[in-house]
Amino acid sequence: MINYGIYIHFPYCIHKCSYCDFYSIENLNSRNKFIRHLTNEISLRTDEFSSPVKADTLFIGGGTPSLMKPHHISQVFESLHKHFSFESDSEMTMECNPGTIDVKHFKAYKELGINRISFGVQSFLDKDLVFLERIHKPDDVSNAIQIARDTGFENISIDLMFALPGQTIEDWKYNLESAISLETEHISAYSLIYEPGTPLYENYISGQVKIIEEDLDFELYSSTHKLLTGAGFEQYEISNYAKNKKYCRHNLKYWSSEEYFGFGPSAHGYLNGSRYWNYRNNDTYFKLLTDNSLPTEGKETLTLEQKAFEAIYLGLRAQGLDLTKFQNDYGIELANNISKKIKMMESDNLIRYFDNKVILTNKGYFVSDNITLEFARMLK
Amino acid sequence: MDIVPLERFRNFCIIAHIDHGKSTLADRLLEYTGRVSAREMVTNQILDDNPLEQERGITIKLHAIQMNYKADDGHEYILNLIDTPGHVDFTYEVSRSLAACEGALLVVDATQGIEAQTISNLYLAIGNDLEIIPVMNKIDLPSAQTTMDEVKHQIMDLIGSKDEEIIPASAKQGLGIHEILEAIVKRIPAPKGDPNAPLKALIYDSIYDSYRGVIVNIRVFEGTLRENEKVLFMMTGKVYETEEVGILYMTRQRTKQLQAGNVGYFTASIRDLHDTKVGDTVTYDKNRCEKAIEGFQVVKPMVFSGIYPADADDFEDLRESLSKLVLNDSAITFEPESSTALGFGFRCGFLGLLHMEIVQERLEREFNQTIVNTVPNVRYKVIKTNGEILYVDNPAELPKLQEIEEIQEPFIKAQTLTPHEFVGNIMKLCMDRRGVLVNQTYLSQTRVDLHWELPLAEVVFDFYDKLKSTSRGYASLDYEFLEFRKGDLVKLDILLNGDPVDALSSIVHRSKSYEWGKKLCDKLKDLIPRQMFEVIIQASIGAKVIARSTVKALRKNVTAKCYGGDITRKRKLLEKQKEGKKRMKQVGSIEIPQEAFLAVLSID
Repeated sequence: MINYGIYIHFPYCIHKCSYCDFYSIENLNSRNKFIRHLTNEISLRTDEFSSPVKADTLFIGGGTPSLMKPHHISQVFESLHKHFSFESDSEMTMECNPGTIDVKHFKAYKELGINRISFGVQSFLDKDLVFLERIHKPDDVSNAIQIARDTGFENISIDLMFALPGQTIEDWKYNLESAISLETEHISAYSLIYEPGTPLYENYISGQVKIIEEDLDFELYSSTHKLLTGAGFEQYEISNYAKNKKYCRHNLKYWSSEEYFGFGPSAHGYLNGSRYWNYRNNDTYFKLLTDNSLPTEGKETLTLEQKAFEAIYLGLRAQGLDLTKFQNDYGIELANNISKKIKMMESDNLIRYFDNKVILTNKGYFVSDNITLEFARMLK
Repeated sequence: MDIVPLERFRNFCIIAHIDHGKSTLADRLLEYTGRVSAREMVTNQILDDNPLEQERGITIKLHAIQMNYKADDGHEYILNLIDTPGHVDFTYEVSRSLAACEGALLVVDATQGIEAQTISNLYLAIGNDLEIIPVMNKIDLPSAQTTMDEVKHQIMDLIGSKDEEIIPASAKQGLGIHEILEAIVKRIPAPKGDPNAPLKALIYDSIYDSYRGVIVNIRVFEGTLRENEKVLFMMTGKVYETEEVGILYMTRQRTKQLQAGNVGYFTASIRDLHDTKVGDTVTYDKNRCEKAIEGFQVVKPMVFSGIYPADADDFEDLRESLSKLVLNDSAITFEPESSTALGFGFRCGFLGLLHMEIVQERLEREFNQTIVNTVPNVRYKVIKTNGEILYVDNPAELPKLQEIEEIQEPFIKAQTLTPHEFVGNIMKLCMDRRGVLVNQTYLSQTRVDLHWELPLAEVVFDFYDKLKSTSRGYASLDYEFLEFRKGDLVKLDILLNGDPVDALSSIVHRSKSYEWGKKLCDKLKDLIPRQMFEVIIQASIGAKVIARSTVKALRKNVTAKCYGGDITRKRKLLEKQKEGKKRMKQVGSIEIPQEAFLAVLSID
């Protein structure tokens, strides 16, 4: 029996950050209503499965899930437990903003079963936080982590962001060292993306904001690897580092083509070989669920070829592409020149290759799109 | 049908520079003689009916239209207008359509004066003993008031005509149209010829029609062409039986026969356009005329380039497309060739760069081919040490250095006409292109006629554009092949990460090789995108590297995140990148965009 993953999207923020293109709104008034409809969606989506559905990861993202009040989250859990049966060692993550921490809330999360906290820190420098329009201050972070630790959380992650306009290598090292000193189990370090539709993107188009040079971007990226591996972390995906194998198991499901439920506006799911996505609008979401209709905006059933292509890029971005398994799973023959190409990429230090498995190096991760397309071509 | 006596026929063409109003004038003549209505005129320039022709404002194929005109003398005349192509690449075709006429309208823009192309065609017309009727067009333009007198003098100087023989006109406004038609009737001689003599007809154009085979457009000089008769093409030696014979109104109109003096068409189930060469003479197989019409030439391509399918799998498709294209355009030559860099493709020959661009565009638009084009070059004559003579139209096929006694390159005789203030600029341009000034004449106080001898290779690229920009658009160019001349020429190779890319090789003059090599390396550096590894670009002559540049390794290509479970979006972004890669040619492990193979064309 498969153990599914569960993603819940909580679409509220006190203030939307300039770079963020995930769906959320700043008016918090409809939260109660949202929780009601969310639990309805959970019930509707699991309806066609023989209950209870087995699951072993939960990820509550957003938005700012730490804006959920204890009674909200207990309603959600009540619904989840009604329709899912969780493995005893399930990973249950909640994203938190270091600026919206409440000891009482943390205790409630813990009691309900949340066992992993992911803090959206982004930077320890005030100028960066102002630029990104974050609502918290640098000092809030250690405080928030302290509270989480005191509450008993043993699996904590910090999100950081590099390649900010004007960022120097010193700025970034300061951020990394600050993060390391907090001794969390996990660090994600994302390169800033200019997403169309965000205020940041508008500022870039109008010329007010400049993207940093590719070489500096690479330098920041590779210094991340150097500092974090030096501090005992292991890079297990392009942007993700963990100590003692405390990988984010939920995210690993995405990257190993496993199936998951997605609940909430704009959430994506992958069930029975079909990817679906929900409407990216609360009102539409509410309206459809009021009629007991699924809030699905679109879906696609993957062809074998699409599945194979996904397996390549998802595998390569995380824990590697097992060519033997790949051939067995998809029945696709590899091109003759594959070993020559693999050798070349190996000698350029872009990949490691052993047991017929391809794993990207730190350098390779940063050009993973190219490597993906190279492999996709070889599978012609 | 009543037989119209020969003295009521007039065959004429229009000589004009691009933009001087040829098509508009032709439209106006057709409208005046009632061949088309004014309403049809609004949307169309009737003669330039190919979309490419309309876009570029030039005539590529020839056309002919017959008009009936009731003249002031009370008689009805049959006027055959034979259109001519308007570009230097097509000089021979022009000469053949002129040979089909007795007269020509020389149309000159009253604000611009005469251009080199016009003069060269004018000389062709005079050489064919054509009666010239000068027309000064666009007199309605306000600026014409100041330039008209000078233009008038240019015309008088050139053809020795009198002031009153020049017809002021505005095709746009419909001014002077009646006068022009009267002049055609009065001044152009009627064709001569004996309808009972052995058939003698000139092919001035032929068009491929997928249903009826080749439609041959002819001017009958002697005898009468009839249906169901065996005809001989004297140069190609082919014999066919005529099927349909007719004249060219707006559409083809069957008349069953065509008499000496008239212009028309015939079909004969001809499947290969190469059998009906422009300039060839058609006669009856049984009752042959004594001598073929003079002036026939086999049209030879001047510019060559490799055309490769972007995707190697499309090679056969490309072959089929080229074969079809050649049915419509017999001036193209193509032969299979292979390149280590590009795989299998074709070496194609064109009349000139414009012709090359037209062929490329037609392949992409009409035949949906995605092609990679290599740098165009001229055909060199190579004399080997063992005395063997080779013609090389692909730099990759140049023999080894030690086997070459000498390389000769084609030279052209070029004529540029320019207002005198640009003479300095043009001198500099031509000198830079290794040109030799042969003659310089003042056509008027302000207009200079410069004669040059230039290596064709130096003209093929951007010479025309440079000439235009250096003379603010005023100078004009015409040229013809002169001879092969020995030159200090070397083969310049381009190496990517140490491996020569044959499709990027070129033959250049030694004096320019260093500068050229450097510019090419720099240009390629900008055109080749960063790859996962460093790409070193080198230019070399033999084993000697003369220039170098580097495309730094790509450091980052990892776009959308994959953290909210939105895998679909990431896949779509990657699929987009994958599509983009299709426009790239993989040479070894290096991806080269198609533009890079034409880098030479965009070097300053």
